[in-house]
Amino acid sequence: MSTEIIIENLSQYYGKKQALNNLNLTIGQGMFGLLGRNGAGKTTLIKVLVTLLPKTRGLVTVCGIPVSKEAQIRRITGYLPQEFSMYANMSVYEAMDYLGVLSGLSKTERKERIPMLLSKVNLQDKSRTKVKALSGGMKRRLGIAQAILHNPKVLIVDEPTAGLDPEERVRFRNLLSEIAQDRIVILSTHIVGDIEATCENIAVLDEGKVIFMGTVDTLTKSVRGKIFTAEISKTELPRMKEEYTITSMVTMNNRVNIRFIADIKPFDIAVSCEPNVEDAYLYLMREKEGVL
Amino acid sequence: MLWILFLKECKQMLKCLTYYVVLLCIILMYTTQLGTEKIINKPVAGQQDYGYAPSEDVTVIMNSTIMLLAREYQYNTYATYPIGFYKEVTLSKAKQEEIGDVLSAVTGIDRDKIDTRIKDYLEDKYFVSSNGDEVTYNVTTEGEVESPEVDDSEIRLEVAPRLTYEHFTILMAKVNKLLGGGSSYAKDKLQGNAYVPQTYEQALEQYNEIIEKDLLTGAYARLFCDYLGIVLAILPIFLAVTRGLRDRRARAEEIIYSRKASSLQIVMSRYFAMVIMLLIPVLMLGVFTEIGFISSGLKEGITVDYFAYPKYILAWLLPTIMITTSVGVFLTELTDTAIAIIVQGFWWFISLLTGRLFGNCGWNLIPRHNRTGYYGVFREYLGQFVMNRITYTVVALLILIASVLIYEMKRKGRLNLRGKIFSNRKVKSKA
Repeated sequence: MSTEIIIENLSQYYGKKQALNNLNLTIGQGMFGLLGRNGAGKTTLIKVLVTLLPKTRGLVTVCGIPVSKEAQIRRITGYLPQEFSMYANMSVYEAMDYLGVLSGLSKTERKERIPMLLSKVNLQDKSRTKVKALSGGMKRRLGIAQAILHNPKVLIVDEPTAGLDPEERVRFRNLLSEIAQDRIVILSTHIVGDIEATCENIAVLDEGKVIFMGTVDTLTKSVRGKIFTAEISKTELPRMKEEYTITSMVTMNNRVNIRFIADIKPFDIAVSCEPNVEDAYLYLMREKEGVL
Repeated sequence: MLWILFLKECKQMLKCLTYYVVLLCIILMYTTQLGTEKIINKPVAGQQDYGYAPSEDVTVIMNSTIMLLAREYQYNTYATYPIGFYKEVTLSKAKQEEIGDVLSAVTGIDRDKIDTRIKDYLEDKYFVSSNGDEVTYNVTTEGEVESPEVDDSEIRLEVAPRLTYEHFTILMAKVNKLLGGGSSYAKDKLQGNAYVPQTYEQALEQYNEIIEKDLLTGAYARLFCDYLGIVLAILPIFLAVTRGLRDRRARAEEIIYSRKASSLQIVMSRYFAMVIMLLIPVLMLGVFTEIGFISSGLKEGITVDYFAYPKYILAWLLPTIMITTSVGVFLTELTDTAIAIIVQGFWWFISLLTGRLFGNCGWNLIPRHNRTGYYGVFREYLGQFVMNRITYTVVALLILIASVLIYEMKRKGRLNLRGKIFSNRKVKSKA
């Protein structure tokens, strides 16, 4: 059986509005990042992959199965939606057990896998806790546990770290990386840091189109020599903001350390530096908008 | 998987507040209307009375109705229940004259003479003063106000000799229309105007019918179903709506949609969990009641039907639970709103309003048999009753299949009626 997700010429419409425009992607085993602004089409693509939306046009196969075969796709995919929750009055274990039954797991399988997965997501002490009593981070971890309950070949997570504190976010990213060792994991997010920390391969979506597909390394290398730092006075900042795309800045008294994008070294005190994914992503977006 | 899902749904229902509210309503209906009946005593010759029963004699029905109309006509105050609630109707002079004409037509007496006869009678019986608006009552030696005894027959208004019952009902329908509907003159209400004392023979016949044909418990099982049918034609809707909206409220829709379980398994397990979890307490209540009757019957040496309550509950109430639940599941899945409560509430209200308390139920959602016994009458319309119940069961299952299809469409993102409704609202509000 194929271990790839193949998307060819996928177009998706909501009425007359086009959400995905002739998309082509191949996603292999391991972590795959789907990066883009809110409204770029990430969630639409994910919903097509998990059969929650019928594709309008194009070819989409998950591990060799066309997405039109919903029942087969559901067997091999796990999904954590952007807003995950379960019945508030269920305990963590009950929620897992209920979803396990819906996934077609036998009683023995459920008894074996649920404690193991709760332990994996560090919720073993919360199995009797009601879902409503879980913190945002715990709910997300429960979300991951339920998504891999039936041991799917493909795991798709949509904006999983939104609203998590930094510590929870790091823990969550590590968990995803662990899970991705033997399956395809698609991480959809608009948070560049999550992609940088976990994914080797990424696709950047904008207005329903893929504007970049490749490795994180390729993306960052593509802007090498175009990212600079400089220490300027605060009074110069408005002008710099107008002329350049500033990717970060640190203020110290009346001076500001800025990091910005420019095609060539713009002035003497500017120092070229090693780009990160965020720089590359912003460069890509500005380039798309024709700002650069 | 279906069985395990069903059990899980049943377990979930035990944690649902709405379920307990529904159970409370059923128990309230039971305790306020039933639960205190004692087994019928064999009538003894020479008893003071044998109770009352609606007359089957059309002449008695016509005469009683005429007397009622004459009394209401005299005071121009008519009692009606147009939408199930009491409404006092006072007619214009022209409409009063039309009522007078109807009275004249049904009695064959000139309207002027009718007016005089009623007025004379009432002045005599109620001590109406000469100006017609002051009423004086007798006061006893103990100082208590004594209501005058009324014997309408003394007005001596009777149906005209050649008037047929069919023509009478047409004229009464005209009166009903003049009153705006819901009056005692509607065709199906006429018999209710003629309650007459039963004779010993009638009472004995009724007793024998209960003992021999109904084997005691059958008679009370019908009464049980008559009352509980009323609440079971509306209460399941609340459970269905609560369950249907639960996924959306918990934001668990997508998680559940993306599982392996088929739409058939998901919808069926939920539906049958609701139906069975409602049926079980009703059966328990029924069997609990029946045990009392069985025990009393056996003490009296009466042969009883041990399974009357379960049989009647399954044949009479189960289809009601099924159709009400399926309407709830269907409309909630279709719209993702609580609109099913309004729709079913309306259907329930109309069914109650148009249904007969006793006799042929036709295609009404809520079959009634609001009397103990009368097996013979029940037998008369049993065929229609069976057709009614089978039809509702089949329709309930068809609606359930439609609900499964809707669920499947929503699951695949092919149907989002709620989204459309709300996006249209937004567009309109923006405009």
